[in-house]
Amino acid sequence: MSGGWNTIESDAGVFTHLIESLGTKNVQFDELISLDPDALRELGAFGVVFLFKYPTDEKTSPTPRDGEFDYEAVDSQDDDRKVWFAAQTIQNACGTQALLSVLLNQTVDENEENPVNLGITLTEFKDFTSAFPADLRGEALSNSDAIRETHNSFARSSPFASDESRVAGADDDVYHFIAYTSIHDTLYELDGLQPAPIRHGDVGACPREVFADAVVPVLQSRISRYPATEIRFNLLALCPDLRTRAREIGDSEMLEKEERKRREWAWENALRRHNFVGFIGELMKGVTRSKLQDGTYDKWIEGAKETTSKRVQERQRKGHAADEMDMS
Amino acid sequence: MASSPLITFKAGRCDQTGRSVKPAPTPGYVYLYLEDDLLHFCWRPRSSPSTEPEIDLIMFPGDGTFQPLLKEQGAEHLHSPTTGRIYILAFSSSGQKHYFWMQSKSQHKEGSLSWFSQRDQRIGQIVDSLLQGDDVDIEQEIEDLRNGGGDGDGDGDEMDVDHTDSGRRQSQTGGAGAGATGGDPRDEGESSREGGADGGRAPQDATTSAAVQNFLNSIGGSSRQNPNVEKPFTTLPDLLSSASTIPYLATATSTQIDQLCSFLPPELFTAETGTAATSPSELSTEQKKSILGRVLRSPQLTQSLASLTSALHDGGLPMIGEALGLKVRDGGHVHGGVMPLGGSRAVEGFVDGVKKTVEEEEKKQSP
Repeated sequence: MSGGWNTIESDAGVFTHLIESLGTKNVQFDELISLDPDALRELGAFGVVFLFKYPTDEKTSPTPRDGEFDYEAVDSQDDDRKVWFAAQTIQNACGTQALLSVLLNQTVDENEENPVNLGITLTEFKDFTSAFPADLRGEALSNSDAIRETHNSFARSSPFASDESRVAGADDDVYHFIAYTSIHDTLYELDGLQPAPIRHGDVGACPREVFADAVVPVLQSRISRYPATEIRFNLLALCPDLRTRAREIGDSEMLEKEERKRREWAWENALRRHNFVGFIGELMKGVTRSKLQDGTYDKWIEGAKETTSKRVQERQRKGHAADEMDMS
Repeated sequence: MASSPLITFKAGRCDQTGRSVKPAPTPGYVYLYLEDDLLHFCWRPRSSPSTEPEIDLIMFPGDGTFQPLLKEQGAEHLHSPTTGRIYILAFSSSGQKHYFWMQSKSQHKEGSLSWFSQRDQRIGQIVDSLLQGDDVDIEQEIEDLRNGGGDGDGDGDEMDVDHTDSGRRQSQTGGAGAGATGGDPRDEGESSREGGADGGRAPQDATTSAAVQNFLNSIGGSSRQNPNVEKPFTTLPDLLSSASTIPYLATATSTQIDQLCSFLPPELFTAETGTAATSPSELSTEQKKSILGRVLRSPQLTQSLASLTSALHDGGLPMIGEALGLKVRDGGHVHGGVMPLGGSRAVEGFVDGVKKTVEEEEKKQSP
């Protein structure tokens, strides 16, 4: 039994910091707002992590809805054939698992100027698990202290373990991360809840250069399976470090934009990891004091009560249980 | 443990200090098993496997008794003199006593917390018989218990068991362990968890707060008996929405601003200006206000406010009140009791505690 994995947010800043903390260099994540092949191509994306609402009513079937299971690729020891695929053993680790599925399948091209550099932790992990079957790889991932600790450092900071897990449970239980990337010039979908990698299109039909054009129709087909009201998904692209690119092509405007993005990520990550209890106590006292001074204390409390009860009613109308009212 | 338990039921330990006995909130199981012809009397928290009891006593036949703590012996309805159902495990050889409290939901029609139902009594009798070395037909006894405590007087026990069990199994914590026989703990009023929005929690989340919540619901004040009709108060995200906090920020003094900033990670102040060398004290009040404004509008703060609200709901008020130095009434406990307030009343207690603290601070400052 391994230690606990907390849930982390699907956010380019979190994911980028996560892989950088693991020692990976020259790559980053970037958020995609629309399913646009041009945007993906522009980023030079070589993989995507797709977060979506998990259809709990969808039955598992011997064949995937789209594409084909490629069982051979998992066990193959042939360097031109094998795919790093791990069965998901821990729900909360699925974000990390999806990003590793993209990252660990990137072959390093020595001729590239800034090739993907996995770093020691991930290189060792990849070597260690390369001969394992999929379920053992999943176990190995769950049991990797280095990866778990990095992953957990991004979980929301809270001194109250139980509410942490409850917030996570309510938010994330029905969400799932999967990865798509080009491996040996072939488009694969890597979903730890499936028995094998899913191959889309023919072997060799998807070199990295056409990844953007190949993956978008596959994603569109997937999204179209859900009712229009259910489309809550998030798409993160794994691409070369955009600051390096900007420097190379001498685009100072792009460089400034990317540097600003990094500052914002650092800011948000600092807040994500912060324990706000002391701040909330101080803020609560301050607001209470000012409301008492200008005589609007009762009005403030009543207003908040009204907002709460309105929301409770709203939820009840939508069929949520009344006891969920303490969630924001 | 070589063999599966003879009987397992939901019960908590009690801490003894001198002559005072205090129920510990940890959800647990009492269970008995035989190994090498020796009878073990064990207790474990529900989060532990049955192989890791916290209390493991080897019982020699006839040395121990297991009796309910009663207000009045031989009364028609057996009641405990306390607000919970306590059983005493007493050793005749040493005079040593261990106290346990039943954590299953009260089967009383009005939810009386001190009333020993037929089933409660029967569980006690089975345990006591086992301690005497009597040959108990456990399987038959358990069957009787499942069928409504063997009382047959139609007082509604049976209905209660069925009813409370429905649809709650997914939030079961622990379990009696593989191969456990008898006294299926799931039949013991799982609805005791029905309080603070606890449904659907994953098994591994049985933590202190959940324990406190169970404790509250099991033996807490009567006002918590039906949390679903509890009058909602409000939540911290609603109280401290940016509509309330941003105007406060505008009027706050520089001392107040600095005080707030001291509770934030220092990286925020360096990241803002982009120069690593800047320390918060070198920023102007306006710059600090702008940073605070971003924090007050951030989703991360809203999430923390929601977490803190949940923690209050789950019995965290005494701990939070103390950590923040608040003058919380009765220390955040149920008036006259030792249980933390739960649900909306805890949020109300928190809000009132802040008000009282602020009022006292103001009094001290104005002569």
